[in-house]
Amino acid sequence: MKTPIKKILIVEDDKPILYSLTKKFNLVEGLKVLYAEDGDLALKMALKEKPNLILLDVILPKMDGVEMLKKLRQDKRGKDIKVIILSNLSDPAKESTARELGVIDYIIKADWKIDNVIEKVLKQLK
Amino acid sequence: MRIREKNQPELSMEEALEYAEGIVQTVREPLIVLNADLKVISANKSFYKIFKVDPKHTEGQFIYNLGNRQWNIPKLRELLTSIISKNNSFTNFEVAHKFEDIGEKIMLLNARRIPRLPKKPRILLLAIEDITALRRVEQEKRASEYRYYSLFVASRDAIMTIDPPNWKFTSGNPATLKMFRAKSEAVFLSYDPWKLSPKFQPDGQVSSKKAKEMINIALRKGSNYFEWVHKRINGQEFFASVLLSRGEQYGRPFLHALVRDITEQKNVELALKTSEERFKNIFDKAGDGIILAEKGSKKFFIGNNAIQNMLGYSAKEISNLKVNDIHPKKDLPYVLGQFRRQAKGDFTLARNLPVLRKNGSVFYADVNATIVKMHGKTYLMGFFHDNTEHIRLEKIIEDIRKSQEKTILAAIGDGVMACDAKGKIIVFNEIASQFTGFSSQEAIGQHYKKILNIIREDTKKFGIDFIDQAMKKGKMSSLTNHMMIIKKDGTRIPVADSASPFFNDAGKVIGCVVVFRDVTKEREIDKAKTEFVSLASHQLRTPLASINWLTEMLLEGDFGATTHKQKENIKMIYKSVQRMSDLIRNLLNISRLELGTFTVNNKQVILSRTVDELLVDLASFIEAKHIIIKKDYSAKLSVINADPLLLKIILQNLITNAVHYTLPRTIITVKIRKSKEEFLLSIKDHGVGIPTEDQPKIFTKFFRASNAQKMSTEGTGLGLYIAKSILDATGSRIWFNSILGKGTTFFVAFPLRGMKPKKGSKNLEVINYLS
Repeated sequence: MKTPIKKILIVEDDKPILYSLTKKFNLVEGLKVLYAEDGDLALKMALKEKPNLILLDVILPKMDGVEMLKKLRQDKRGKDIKVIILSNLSDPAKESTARELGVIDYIIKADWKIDNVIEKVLKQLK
Repeated sequence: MRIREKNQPELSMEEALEYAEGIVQTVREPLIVLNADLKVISANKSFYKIFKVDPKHTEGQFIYNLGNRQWNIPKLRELLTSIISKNNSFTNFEVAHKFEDIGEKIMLLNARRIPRLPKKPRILLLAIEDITALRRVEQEKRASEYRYYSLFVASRDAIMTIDPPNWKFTSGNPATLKMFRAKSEAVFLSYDPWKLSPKFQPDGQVSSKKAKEMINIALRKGSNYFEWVHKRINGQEFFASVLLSRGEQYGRPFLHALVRDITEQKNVELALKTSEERFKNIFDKAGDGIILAEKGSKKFFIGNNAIQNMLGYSAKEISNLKVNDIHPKKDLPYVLGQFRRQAKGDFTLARNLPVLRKNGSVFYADVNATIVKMHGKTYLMGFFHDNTEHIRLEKIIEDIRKSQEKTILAAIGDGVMACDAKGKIIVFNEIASQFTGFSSQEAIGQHYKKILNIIREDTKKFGIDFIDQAMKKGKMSSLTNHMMIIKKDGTRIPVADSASPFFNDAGKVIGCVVVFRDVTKEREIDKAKTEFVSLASHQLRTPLASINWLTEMLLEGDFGATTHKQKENIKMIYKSVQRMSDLIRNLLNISRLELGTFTVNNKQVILSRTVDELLVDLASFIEAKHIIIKKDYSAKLSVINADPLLLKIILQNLITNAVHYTLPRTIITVKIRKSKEEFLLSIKDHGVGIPTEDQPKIFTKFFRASNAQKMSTEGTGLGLYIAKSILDATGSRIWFNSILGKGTTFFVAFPLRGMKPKKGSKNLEVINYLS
């Protein structure tokens, strides 16, 4: 039986982090990994590709993560896409805005082992 | 007496009459036999004796004519005519009659008609019982009862009776009811005697117990008079005198209490006593020494406590001394001369007279000497005011002034101000003038509050109370952070201040030195430091996260197989990165704590569950060291309002420390208790302990105890500092007990209402990696 293809979009401007995440996700079978390195491109890709899940950084060039999320939710196509915020610093104001816009979780990169991040994403894709 | 037997023949007429006559004569009550015409056939001796009549004037006489018609008693006539005609007898009719010769007699009359012989007129037997004496006794008893009763009712004293076996009130007169404010006797009787007293009597005895003792004394001795504090039904207490007397009723003892309200009397007594005491108090407690000496002999008579303290002699020693003994010999002519002049009335106060203490030292006192007369004797009375402090203060001020002249103070780079105990500025240096805008001439002599205008940076509230506090507590006190001084012209300068009180020999605060300095530059550096930490931390974290993840991937073989040796080295990199991450996280937390930008967002948290979770995180560690965790808590009693994140940070630091520093194969006890005021959590380890000299610094940033440093180089010295900072900011407390080599117990107390909530822009972060 062929597993249906799932798509994820990684939005991350730090190359080593992006590298480790894409590398990790590419090891997973039946998963198509897309990525964007700025908010603007991320929004365009999200609306066009309609991924099953977006891993979204907050501090990004061109348009920050929260702004991108806001625009995504305003669009019919992006209204229901699952989003996990992957930030580097806890900021209660940003976190609460993000949660109001509907995110699955707001996680701090430095606090998480990469395996746990992958596990969390895959759980949402099931 | 002859007994009639069954077969005995009937008596003859004569025999019967004789028989009857015998009976009549032997009866002790007066008895008269009347014929049908009511004439006396015979009467017995008792009748003649009691009613003082003789047989000659009686037998054959009409009954009403007896004793010169004195027996013409209407009631008797009525009985004999009307009652006897209808009935054959009457009994116990009481008749009172005044006889001329024997006075009033009260008689009980009984009559019976006796059938004599058939067809012969019948005879009548009249028995007269003299009950005069009996009735008189009864009457007297009634009268005395009445008298007693009227006394009882009319008495202005409260009278009550108390009956056995429970010694309850059985009656109380109107005065009693009034005294106790009872609406009715029934209300009064519903109270036990000791319920109408305060719980304790003035001598400290329990009223109910003492009342029983008083009752027993009254029963034993017949009466007992004592003073008692009673309580009215309305709760008001009053002094009373009580006379308890024993009485007897139906063979049983009872008590009779006469209670008199003596509040007024007591008040007078008390007033007298207090005025006496007050006088004694003034004498004993006066700050100035008071001493009396006999005028002629100059021998001391009495001295108060103050003079005893001043001189160092006991009261008894003083009474053995003379005026000459308490002044230096060389000064005697001068001193005595001063006293003589005072006695003459030249002046009232002799200033700075030298006085000799028992230990030989000399002090100076202002003495006011006067002549007083008591019990016909003349005494010299002296009031001594010790000037030592005053002279010392003057000297200190003089010294400070001199040193200012020498420009020592002027050369100091900090502002220096000194004031006396009343707050009056006595020293004000050049820098102080620059800070405040007031010249030293303007400032000296003024109250410091008029010159030093210091406010809190955040609340803009007046913040100068630290000077007052330093003087009140007699301890150095510093201004809290973020204070500003407002200059005369309105400019503001951030300052740091400290105030040190200075003392006289007796340890009394006589003034305060305040030093303040400009901290503008320090403040700027502080801010830059915090900003740098925050910024640097941010920037450092991103590469760290990727190093972390890539190392994890390397270890997992995501980039291909590694040799054992390679793996070991990668693990070392990984561990170092973890430590770097922890350090950055802690630095970030500190910058948020110090900037006050962190959030306290309360939720209902089960304290014990947080502990349980942390213990699970540490399980491998605990197992490896063979540590036994004793959990002395219940989830039910540990529900608290707290920020789960902050709680985790605090407990994580404490539990990790305990696990780190306890010795292998020991017990760590975690205890949670809920009291009326707070939740108390304690973590007790059996570890290395904290050296005594390190204990005061244990909560200081970056500080690590010397023995902990030797054990491992890994600790950051930030954990306890962070825990304490959070607890301080949320209204909670942390402290510890530690014995070197035995172990340490940390205590954390959260208020019952939980952590103090706070809005901020940043969350603190928990260390999730446990290496």
